[in-house]
Amino acid sequence: MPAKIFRDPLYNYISIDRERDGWLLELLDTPEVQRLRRIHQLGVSYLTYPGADHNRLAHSLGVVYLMQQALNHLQVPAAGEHINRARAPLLAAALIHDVGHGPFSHLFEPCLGIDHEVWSKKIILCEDQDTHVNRVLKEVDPSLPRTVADLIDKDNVEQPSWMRYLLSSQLDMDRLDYLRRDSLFTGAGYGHFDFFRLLNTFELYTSGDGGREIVWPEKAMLAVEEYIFARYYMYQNVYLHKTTRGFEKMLEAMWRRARALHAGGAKLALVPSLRDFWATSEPTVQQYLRLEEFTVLMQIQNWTQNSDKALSDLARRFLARERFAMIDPPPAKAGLAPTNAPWEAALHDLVKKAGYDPEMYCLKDQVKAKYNQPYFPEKEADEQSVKNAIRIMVNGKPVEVSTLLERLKPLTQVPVDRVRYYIPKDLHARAKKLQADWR
Amino acid sequence: MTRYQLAKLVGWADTLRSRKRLQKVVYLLQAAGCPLAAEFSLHHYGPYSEELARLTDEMVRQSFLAEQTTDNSVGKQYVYCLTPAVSQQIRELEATAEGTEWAAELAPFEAQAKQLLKEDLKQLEYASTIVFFHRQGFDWPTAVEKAEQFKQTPAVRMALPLARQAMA
Repeated sequence: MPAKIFRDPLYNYISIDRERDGWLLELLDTPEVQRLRRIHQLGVSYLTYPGADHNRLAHSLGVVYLMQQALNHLQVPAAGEHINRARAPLLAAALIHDVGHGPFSHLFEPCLGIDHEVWSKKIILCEDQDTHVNRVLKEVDPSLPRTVADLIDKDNVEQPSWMRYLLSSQLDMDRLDYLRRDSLFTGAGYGHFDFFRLLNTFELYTSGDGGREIVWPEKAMLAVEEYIFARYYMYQNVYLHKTTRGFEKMLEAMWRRARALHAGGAKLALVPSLRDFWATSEPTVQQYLRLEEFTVLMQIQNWTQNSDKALSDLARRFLARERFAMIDPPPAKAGLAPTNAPWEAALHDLVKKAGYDPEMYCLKDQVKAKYNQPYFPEKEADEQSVKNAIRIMVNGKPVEVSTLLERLKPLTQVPVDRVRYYIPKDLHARAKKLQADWR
Repeated sequence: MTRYQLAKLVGWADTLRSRKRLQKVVYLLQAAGCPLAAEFSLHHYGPYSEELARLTDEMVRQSFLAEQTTDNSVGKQYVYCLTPAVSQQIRELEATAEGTEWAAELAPFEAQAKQLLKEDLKQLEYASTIVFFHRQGFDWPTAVEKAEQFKQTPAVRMALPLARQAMA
């Protein structure tokens, strides 16, 4: 059969030509990529949305599909050699851009002290040990691993800008897939927008100083608007959902405690892959790849029997989905100096007096402003690029979209960082009173 | 970066012309060791911090900074100065123990900041781009080459003295 077909809930058919792109199928079959089947795209969001069980592999295939469409679109006006040359690196990068993700995706990065992009590059470039991903890419072209690693690195400038921007910018193939996929699987119906129009109307614009950017024509403006609204709603309702964030903080606190106990020589019944990972300050690629969600869950299961009360309690709560209650701090007084510290200290005191260790039972979630409001365009034209603005071509010049559509202004006005606290449910009423009475 | 730190910087400028200037000066001061915490990544016009942009707009919204616009060949350019109320707040804050500490952290960088704030905008853009590559581990000649390749102009190398001075 000439094509390998994958059924996909978003795109119906994702087709990979065996003759032209057989190497992509080999890349897909590598153990490093197959591991992505065992990593939830949305971390622990399934504790909030039971349907959120989709995995990183499905998302990565989705990005491949969108990249194929984008390349087909670019080849229509002029099948330039630069597009042909870009094909393999872009399809490879689309498939393996997330290969370095740890268990539960972004959630585990603070727990393990890792950056998934750093690990993705290590796996692709194979800096300490052989990886199948590296081998397959080298067989296509000896320079391909380096090219793909460069494309994934947001600060790397070795590859043409338009290629990097298709993978990472304010409106890229990655976002086009995950917003709609996450919306579908959570059931939270906010991630709908006319992706087909966005994919089939973008242009490559060359600015006066030679920079090459991705822009959209005026006829796509409303599709862009729809995308920005979808992104905003998905962040507010799914990615920043208080229940999900509460469990993320619980997992982080549990992990911190375990790490501290381990450093103090306590017996923690570590599963072998975690034992090996913690035994060294410079884990190898293979040690990292052995950290999977089932190993983390097994570890948490072990900890429910641990002699440390706080560790076993948090482990039990996590597995039983016994969530903490969320409490907002009182409104902050505007000033040059932060004003939250006294209230936070009072909350800690309340938790401590109830017999809980505030380190483990008063969890602070500082939601960065960029997540509270994901599209925040740079105002000054002289500082705008695809990394900080989505632009529409008007009379031959790129113009940032929110300046053209008043409806977008509230979504692009600056928010502040948002702080939330998570405490045991039995303390919630007392904490609410503390918040209401605070002066 | 804190509100206090941004307010001090704008105060040093008296009138700070252009968000690009703010971005590049903060980056260069950070590279020089000034404790201004902001994450930068490389954009087309050099290192850029979304955090810094947000903080600026937040302080305008809360009337710590006054913002005006002027038009230039590219589009709007933004100009900032302190509001009278915030100048008073800075004085009051610096009279406290915590504020004294904060002021002491920034004081060694005041002269350098004031000089950078007067520099040509293009030179700031080029110098900060060179410094960006240098901080990635490249020696100065290679950092200049990479910056020239990135900006697609040999004019970048004219900013090398400014880049080196910023990190001296």
